[in-house]
Amino acid sequence: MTFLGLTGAALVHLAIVLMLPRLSENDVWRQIETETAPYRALRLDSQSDRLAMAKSLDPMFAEFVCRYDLAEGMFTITNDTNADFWSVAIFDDHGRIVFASNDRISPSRRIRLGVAMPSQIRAIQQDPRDELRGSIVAESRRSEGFAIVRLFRPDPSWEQVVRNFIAQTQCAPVPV
Amino acid sequence: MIRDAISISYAVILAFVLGVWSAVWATADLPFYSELQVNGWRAHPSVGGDNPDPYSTAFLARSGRFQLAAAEGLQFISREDSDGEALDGACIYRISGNTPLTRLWTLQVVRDGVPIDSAALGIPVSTHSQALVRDRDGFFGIVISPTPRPGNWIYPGPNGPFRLILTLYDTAIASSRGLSEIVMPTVERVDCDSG
Repeated sequence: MTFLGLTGAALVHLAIVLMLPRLSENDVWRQIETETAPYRALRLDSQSDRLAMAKSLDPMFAEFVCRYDLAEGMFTITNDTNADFWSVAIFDDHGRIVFASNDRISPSRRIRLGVAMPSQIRAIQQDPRDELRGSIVAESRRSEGFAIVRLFRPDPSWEQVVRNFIAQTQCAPVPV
Repeated sequence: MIRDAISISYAVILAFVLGVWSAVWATADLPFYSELQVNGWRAHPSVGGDNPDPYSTAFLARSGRFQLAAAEGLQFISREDSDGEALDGACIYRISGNTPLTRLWTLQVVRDGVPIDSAALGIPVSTHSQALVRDRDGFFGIVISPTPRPGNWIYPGPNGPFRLILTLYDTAIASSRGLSEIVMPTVERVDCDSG
Protein backbone atom coordinates (compact mmCIF):
# COMPACT_ATOMS: atom_id res chain seq x y z
CA MET A 1 0.00 0.00 0.00
CA THR A 2 2.92 2.32 0.65
CA PHE A 3 4.18 1.57 -2.86
CA LEU A 4 0.74 2.35 -4.26
CA GLY A 5 0.67 5.57 -2.24
CA LEU A 6 4.10 6.65 -3.54
CA THR A 7 3.14 5.89 -7.13
CA GLY A 8 -0.02 7.92 -6.62
CA ALA A 9 2.04 10.76 -5.10
CA ALA A 10 4.27 10.82 -8.18
CA LEU A 11 1.22 11.04 -10.42
CA VAL A 12 -0.35 13.81 -8.31
CA HIS A 13 2.99 15.66 -8.35
CA LEU A 14 3.28 15.45 -12.15
CA ALA A 15 -0.34 16.42 -12.68
CA ILE A 16 0.00 19.53 -10.52
CA VAL A 17 3.30 20.64 -12.09
CA LEU A 18 2.03 20.15 -15.63
CA MET A 19 -1.35 21.75 -14.99
CA LEU A 20 -0.13 24.75 -12.98
CA PRO A 21 0.42 26.95 -16.06
CA ARG A 22 -3.19 26.33 -17.08
CA LEU A 23 -4.73 26.58 -13.63
CA SER A 24 -2.80 29.51 -12.18
CA GLU A 25 -5.10 32.46 -11.59
CA ASN A 26 -2.20 34.82 -11.32
CA ASP A 27 0.10 34.13 -14.27
CA VAL A 28 1.41 36.99 -16.36
CA TRP A 29 -1.18 36.66 -19.09
CA ARG A 30 -4.10 36.81 -16.70
CA GLN A 31 -2.64 39.86 -14.94
CA ILE A 32 -2.13 41.60 -18.29
CA GLU A 33 -5.53 40.60 -19.61
CA THR A 34 -7.33 42.09 -16.61
CA GLU A 35 -5.16 45.20 -16.28
CA THR A 36 -4.72 46.38 -19.84
CA ALA A 37 -6.79 47.15 -22.89
CA PRO A 38 -5.50 45.70 -26.18
CA TYR A 39 -2.93 47.86 -28.01
CA ARG A 40 -2.64 50.26 -25.06
CA ALA A 41 0.80 50.56 -23.47
CA LEU A 42 0.89 50.02 -19.72
CA ARG A 43 3.90 50.96 -17.67
CA LEU A 44 4.95 48.10 -15.39
CA ASP A 45 7.88 49.31 -13.34
CA SER A 46 5.77 51.69 -11.23
CA GLN A 47 3.12 49.04 -10.51
CA SER A 48 5.11 46.76 -8.24
CA ASP A 49 2.75 47.22 -5.29
CA ARG A 50 -0.19 46.06 -7.41
CA LEU A 51 1.06 43.53 -9.95
CA ALA A 52 2.96 40.36 -9.06
CA MET A 53 4.78 40.43 -12.38
CA ALA A 54 6.30 43.84 -11.65
CA LYS A 55 7.85 42.86 -8.32
CA SER A 56 11.07 41.28 -9.48
CA LEU A 57 11.84 43.69 -12.32
CA ASP A 58 15.19 45.41 -12.58
CA PRO A 59 14.77 48.85 -10.92
CA MET A 60 17.23 50.33 -13.39
CA PHE A 61 14.88 49.57 -16.26
CA ALA A 62 11.49 50.91 -17.28
CA GLU A 63 9.14 48.31 -18.74
CA PHE A 64 5.87 48.61 -20.56
CA VAL A 65 3.52 46.09 -22.07
CA CYS A 66 1.16 46.02 -25.09
CA ARG A 67 -1.41 43.27 -25.46
CA TYR A 68 -2.57 42.03 -28.86
CA ASP A 69 -4.99 39.67 -30.52
CA LEU A 70 -3.97 38.41 -33.96
CA ALA A 71 -7.61 37.68 -34.80
CA GLU A 72 -7.89 41.44 -35.44
CA GLY A 73 -4.92 41.36 -37.81
CA MET A 74 -1.19 41.33 -37.58
CA PHE A 75 0.27 43.07 -34.51
CA THR A 76 2.80 45.82 -35.06
CA ILE A 77 4.85 47.76 -32.55
CA THR A 78 6.81 50.71 -33.85
CA ASN A 79 8.82 53.54 -32.38
CA ASP A 80 10.95 56.13 -34.14
CA THR A 81 12.73 57.66 -31.17
CA ASN A 82 16.10 56.78 -29.79
CA ALA A 83 16.91 55.14 -26.48
CA ASP A 84 20.19 54.16 -24.94
CA PHE A 85 19.23 50.51 -24.76
CA TRP A 86 15.97 48.75 -25.31
CA SER A 87 14.94 45.14 -25.62
CA VAL A 88 11.62 43.64 -26.56
CA ALA A 89 10.11 40.22 -25.89
CA ILE A 90 6.91 38.86 -27.40
CA PHE A 91 5.05 36.34 -25.26
CA ASP A 92 2.00 34.26 -26.13
CA ASP A 93 -0.92 33.77 -23.76
CA HIS A 94 0.78 30.70 -22.27
CA GLY A 95 3.70 32.88 -21.19
CA ARG A 96 6.05 31.34 -23.75
CA ILE A 97 8.57 33.51 -25.56
CA VAL A 98 7.61 33.90 -29.20
CA PHE A 99 10.36 36.31 -30.14
CA ALA A 100 12.89 38.49 -28.37
CA SER A 101 15.49 40.95 -29.42
CA ASN A 102 17.29 44.14 -28.49
CA ASP A 103 18.07 47.35 -30.32
CA ARG A 104 20.93 45.79 -32.28
CA ILE A 105 18.48 43.92 -34.47
CA SER A 106 18.08 46.78 -36.92
CA PRO A 107 20.70 49.23 -38.18
CA SER A 108 18.47 52.17 -37.25
CA ARG A 109 18.09 50.91 -33.67
CA ARG A 110 14.36 51.64 -33.86
CA ILE A 111 11.57 49.28 -32.89
CA ARG A 112 9.81 48.05 -36.02
CA LEU A 113 8.35 44.70 -35.18
CA GLY A 114 5.40 42.68 -36.35
CA VAL A 115 3.81 39.50 -35.01
CA ALA A 116 1.64 37.37 -37.25
CA MET A 117 0.09 33.94 -37.53
CA PRO A 118 1.59 31.66 -40.23
CA SER A 119 -1.33 32.34 -42.58
CA GLN A 120 -0.97 36.10 -42.11
CA ILE A 121 2.75 35.86 -42.88
CA ARG A 122 1.95 34.10 -46.12
CA ALA A 123 -0.55 36.84 -46.97
CA ILE A 124 1.89 39.69 -46.38
CA GLN A 125 4.62 37.89 -48.29
CA GLN A 126 2.36 37.67 -51.32
CA ASP A 127 1.15 41.23 -50.91
CA PRO A 128 3.85 43.36 -49.24
CA ARG A 129 2.61 46.40 -47.35
CA ASP A 130 4.21 49.81 -47.23
CA GLU A 131 3.64 50.16 -43.52
CA LEU A 132 5.57 46.95 -42.87
CA ARG A 133 8.65 47.93 -44.85
CA GLY A 134 11.75 47.47 -42.73
CA SER A 135 9.85 45.57 -40.07
CA ILE A 136 10.98 42.35 -38.55
CA VAL A 137 8.13 39.86 -38.52
CA ALA A 138 7.88 37.14 -35.89
CA GLU A 139 5.62 34.14 -36.24
CA SER A 140 3.24 33.10 -33.49
CA ARG A 141 1.00 30.06 -33.57
CA ARG A 142 -1.25 31.42 -30.86
CA SER A 143 -3.55 34.30 -31.49
CA GLU A 144 -3.27 36.23 -28.24
CA GLY A 145 -0.17 37.53 -26.56
CA PHE A 146 1.73 40.59 -25.43
CA ALA A 147 4.92 42.51 -26.05
CA ILE A 148 7.14 43.72 -23.24
CA VAL A 149 9.66 46.48 -23.93
CA ARG A 150 12.48 47.23 -21.50
CA LEU A 151 14.24 50.59 -21.51
CA PHE A 152 17.41 51.43 -19.65
CA ARG A 153 16.53 53.94 -16.92
CA PRO A 154 19.39 53.95 -14.40
CA ASP A 155 18.11 56.93 -12.40
CA PRO A 156 15.11 59.30 -12.30
CA SER A 157 16.86 61.87 -14.52
CA TRP A 158 16.10 59.53 -17.44
CA GLU A 159 12.39 59.68 -16.76
CA GLN A 160 11.69 62.23 -19.49
CA VAL A 161 13.44 60.12 -22.12
CA VAL A 162 11.47 57.06 -21.02
CA ARG A 163 8.12 58.88 -21.00
CA ASN A 164 8.81 60.29 -24.43
CA PHE A 165 9.75 56.84 -25.73
CA ILE A 166 6.59 55.24 -24.39
CA ALA A 167 4.42 58.06 -25.72
CA GLN A 168 5.97 57.60 -29.18
CA THR A 169 5.46 53.84 -29.21
CA GLN A 170 2.60 52.65 -31.34
CA CYS A 171 0.98 49.28 -30.84
CA ALA A 172 -1.60 48.59 -33.51
CA PRO A 173 -3.31 45.83 -35.45
CA VAL A 174 -2.77 45.73 -39.21
CA PRO A 175 -5.65 43.88 -40.89
CA VAL A 176 -4.32 41.34 -43.37
CA MET B 1 -13.20 -5.26 4.98
CA ILE B 2 -12.45 -2.42 7.38
CA ARG B 3 -8.77 -3.27 7.16
CA ASP B 4 -8.96 -2.94 3.35
CA ALA B 5 -10.70 0.42 3.64
CA ILE B 6 -8.08 1.68 6.04
CA SER B 7 -5.15 0.63 3.85
CA ILE B 8 -6.75 2.09 0.73
CA SER B 9 -7.42 5.40 2.43
CA TYR B 10 -3.82 5.33 3.72
CA ALA B 11 -2.56 5.01 0.15
CA VAL B 12 -4.89 7.74 -1.11
CA ILE B 13 -3.95 10.16 1.66
CA LEU B 14 -0.24 9.42 1.21
CA ALA B 15 -0.51 9.99 -2.55
CA PHE B 16 -2.41 13.22 -2.11
CA VAL B 17 -0.37 14.76 0.72
CA LEU B 18 3.03 13.77 -0.64
CA GLY B 19 2.07 14.65 -4.21
CA VAL B 20 0.75 18.12 -3.35
CA TRP B 21 3.58 18.89 -0.93
CA SER B 22 6.30 17.85 -3.37
CA ALA B 23 4.69 19.80 -6.22
CA VAL B 24 4.45 22.94 -4.08
CA TRP B 25 8.06 22.50 -2.98
CA ALA B 26 9.36 21.87 -6.49
CA THR B 27 7.68 24.92 -8.01
CA ALA B 28 8.61 27.40 -5.27
CA ASP B 29 11.76 28.42 -7.14
CA LEU B 30 13.48 27.78 -10.43
CA PRO B 31 14.71 24.17 -10.59
CA PHE B 32 18.24 23.40 -9.47
CA TYR B 33 18.98 21.03 -12.35
CA SER B 34 18.94 23.78 -14.98
CA GLU B 35 21.20 25.98 -12.90
CA LEU B 36 24.44 27.38 -14.26
CA GLN B 37 26.97 28.11 -11.52
CA VAL B 38 29.91 30.41 -12.08
CA ASN B 39 32.09 31.59 -9.21
CA GLY B 40 29.19 31.49 -6.75
CA TRP B 41 26.72 33.16 -9.14
CA ARG B 42 23.71 31.15 -10.26
CA ALA B 43 21.70 31.61 -13.44
CA HIS B 44 19.02 29.72 -15.35
CA PRO B 45 19.84 30.21 -19.02
CA SER B 46 17.21 27.73 -20.25
CA VAL B 47 14.34 29.77 -18.75
CA GLY B 48 14.80 32.47 -21.37
CA GLY B 49 14.93 29.98 -24.21
CA ASP B 50 12.31 28.60 -26.55
CA ASN B 51 11.36 25.58 -24.50
CA PRO B 52 11.71 26.07 -20.76
CA ASP B 53 11.27 22.89 -18.74
CA PRO B 54 7.91 22.17 -17.04
CA TYR B 55 9.17 23.09 -13.58
CA SER B 56 10.38 26.52 -14.72
CA THR B 57 7.09 27.10 -16.53
CA ALA B 58 5.15 26.07 -13.43
CA PHE B 59 7.26 28.37 -11.24
CA LEU B 60 6.63 31.33 -13.55
CA ALA B 61 2.89 30.63 -13.71
CA ARG B 62 2.67 30.29 -9.95
CA SER B 63 4.73 33.37 -9.08
CA GLY B 64 3.07 35.46 -11.78
CA ARG B 65 6.39 36.65 -13.16
CA PHE B 66 7.83 36.69 -16.62
CA GLN B 67 11.29 35.69 -17.71
CA LEU B 68 14.13 37.60 -19.33
CA ALA B 69 14.48 36.20 -22.84
CA ALA B 70 17.87 34.87 -23.88
CA ALA B 71 18.15 37.55 -26.57
CA GLU B 72 17.59 40.23 -23.92
CA GLY B 73 19.99 39.09 -21.25
CA LEU B 74 20.75 36.75 -18.39
CA GLN B 75 20.28 37.21 -14.66
CA PHE B 76 22.80 35.92 -12.11
CA ILE B 77 22.02 35.63 -8.39
CA SER B 78 24.52 35.36 -5.57
CA ARG B 79 23.53 34.42 -2.03
CA GLU B 80 26.97 33.61 -0.67
CA ASP B 81 30.45 35.04 -0.50
CA SER B 82 33.49 33.21 -1.86
CA ASP B 83 33.78 31.18 1.38
CA GLY B 84 30.21 29.93 1.05
CA GLU B 85 28.84 32.07 3.91
CA ALA B 86 25.45 33.73 3.42
CA LEU B 87 25.61 37.44 2.56
CA ASP B 88 24.72 39.62 5.54
CA GLY B 89 24.01 43.34 5.74
CA ALA B 90 26.29 43.71 8.74
CA CYS B 91 29.38 42.68 6.77
CA ILE B 92 31.63 44.41 4.29
CA TYR B 93 32.11 42.71 0.93
CA ARG B 94 34.25 43.46 -2.06
CA ILE B 95 33.07 42.47 -5.53
CA SER B 96 36.01 42.44 -7.89
CA GLY B 97 36.93 41.17 -11.29
CA ASN B 98 34.98 41.51 -14.46
CA THR B 99 31.81 40.29 -16.13
CA PRO B 100 31.42 38.31 -19.35
CA LEU B 101 31.33 40.43 -22.48
CA THR B 102 28.06 42.31 -22.35
CA ARG B 103 26.76 45.64 -23.53
CA LEU B 104 25.26 46.64 -20.24
CA TRP B 105 24.86 45.19 -16.79
CA THR B 106 23.15 46.19 -13.57
CA LEU B 107 23.86 45.10 -9.99
CA GLN B 108 21.25 45.29 -7.24
CA VAL B 109 20.75 44.29 -3.65
CA VAL B 110 17.65 42.13 -3.23
CA ARG B 111 15.87 41.51 0.05
CA ASP B 112 13.01 39.02 0.36
CA GLY B 113 12.95 38.64 -3.41
CA VAL B 114 12.39 42.34 -4.07
CA PRO B 115 15.10 44.86 -5.07
CA ILE B 116 15.59 47.66 -2.56
CA ASP B 117 14.17 50.95 -3.73
CA SER B 118 17.03 53.37 -4.30
CA ALA B 119 14.91 56.48 -4.68
CA ALA B 120 13.45 56.13 -1.19
CA LEU B 121 16.83 55.80 0.46
CA GLY B 122 18.76 58.41 -1.46
CA ILE B 123 21.98 56.40 -1.19
CA PRO B 124 23.37 53.95 -3.71
CA VAL B 125 21.84 50.47 -3.38
CA SER B 126 22.62 49.48 -6.94
CA THR B 127 25.00 50.26 -9.73
CA HIS B 128 25.44 49.60 -13.42
CA SER B 129 28.23 49.15 -15.91
CA GLN B 130 28.18 52.76 -17.07
CA ALA B 131 28.34 54.27 -13.58
CA LEU B 132 31.43 52.49 -12.27
CA VAL B 133 34.88 53.75 -11.56
CA ARG B 134 37.17 51.20 -13.19
CA ASP B 135 40.83 50.29 -12.98
CA ARG B 136 43.26 51.00 -15.77
CA ASP B 137 42.72 47.49 -17.16
CA GLY B 138 38.92 47.77 -17.16
CA PHE B 139 38.40 45.63 -14.08
CA PHE B 140 36.33 46.99 -11.23
CA GLY B 141 35.92 46.74 -7.49
CA ILE B 142 32.63 47.45 -5.71
CA VAL B 143 32.45 47.66 -1.92
CA ILE B 144 29.22 46.64 -0.20
CA SER B 145 29.26 48.15 3.24
CA PRO B 146 26.85 49.56 5.84
CA THR B 147 28.94 52.75 5.94
CA PRO B 148 29.98 54.93 2.98
CA ARG B 149 33.22 54.03 1.19
CA PRO B 150 35.31 55.78 -1.44
CA GLY B 151 35.10 54.44 -4.97
CA ASN B 152 32.22 52.21 -5.97
CA TRP B 153 30.01 51.75 -2.92
CA ILE B 154 26.65 50.04 -2.40
CA TYR B 155 24.55 50.05 0.76
CA PRO B 156 23.09 46.58 1.44
CA GLY B 157 20.28 47.70 3.74
CA PRO B 158 20.01 46.89 7.44
CA ASN B 159 21.56 43.81 9.09
CA GLY B 160 20.28 40.52 7.80
CA PRO B 161 20.54 38.29 4.75
CA PHE B 162 20.48 39.73 1.26
CA ARG B 163 21.13 38.61 -2.27
CA LEU B 164 22.93 40.21 -5.16
CA ILE B 165 21.49 40.18 -8.65
CA LEU B 166 23.78 40.88 -11.55
CA THR B 167 21.87 41.12 -14.81
CA LEU B 168 23.77 41.06 -18.09
CA TYR B 169 21.95 42.68 -20.99
CA ASP B 170 22.73 41.82 -24.58
CA THR B 171 25.25 39.15 -23.79
CA ALA B 172 26.35 36.24 -25.94
CA ILE B 173 26.56 33.83 -23.01
CA ALA B 174 22.78 33.78 -22.60
CA SER B 175 22.27 32.17 -25.98
CA SER B 176 25.51 30.31 -26.64
CA ARG B 177 27.63 28.60 -24.07
CA GLY B 178 30.68 26.42 -23.89
CA LEU B 179 32.85 28.26 -26.40
CA SER B 180 34.77 30.21 -23.81
CA GLU B 181 34.93 30.11 -20.07
CA ILE B 182 32.48 32.44 -18.35
CA VAL B 183 34.11 34.94 -16.00
CA MET B 184 32.14 36.40 -13.13
CA PRO B 185 33.33 38.79 -10.42
CA THR B 186 34.31 37.39 -7.02
CA VAL B 187 32.29 38.33 -3.93
CA GLU B 188 34.75 38.36 -1.08
CA ARG B 189 34.06 39.12 2.58
CA VAL B 190 36.39 41.80 3.92
CA ASP B 191 35.14 42.26 7.45
CA CYS B 192 32.17 41.56 9.62
CA ASP B 193 30.69 43.67 12.36
CA SER B 194 29.89 40.91 14.80
CA GLY B 195 28.29 43.29 17.29
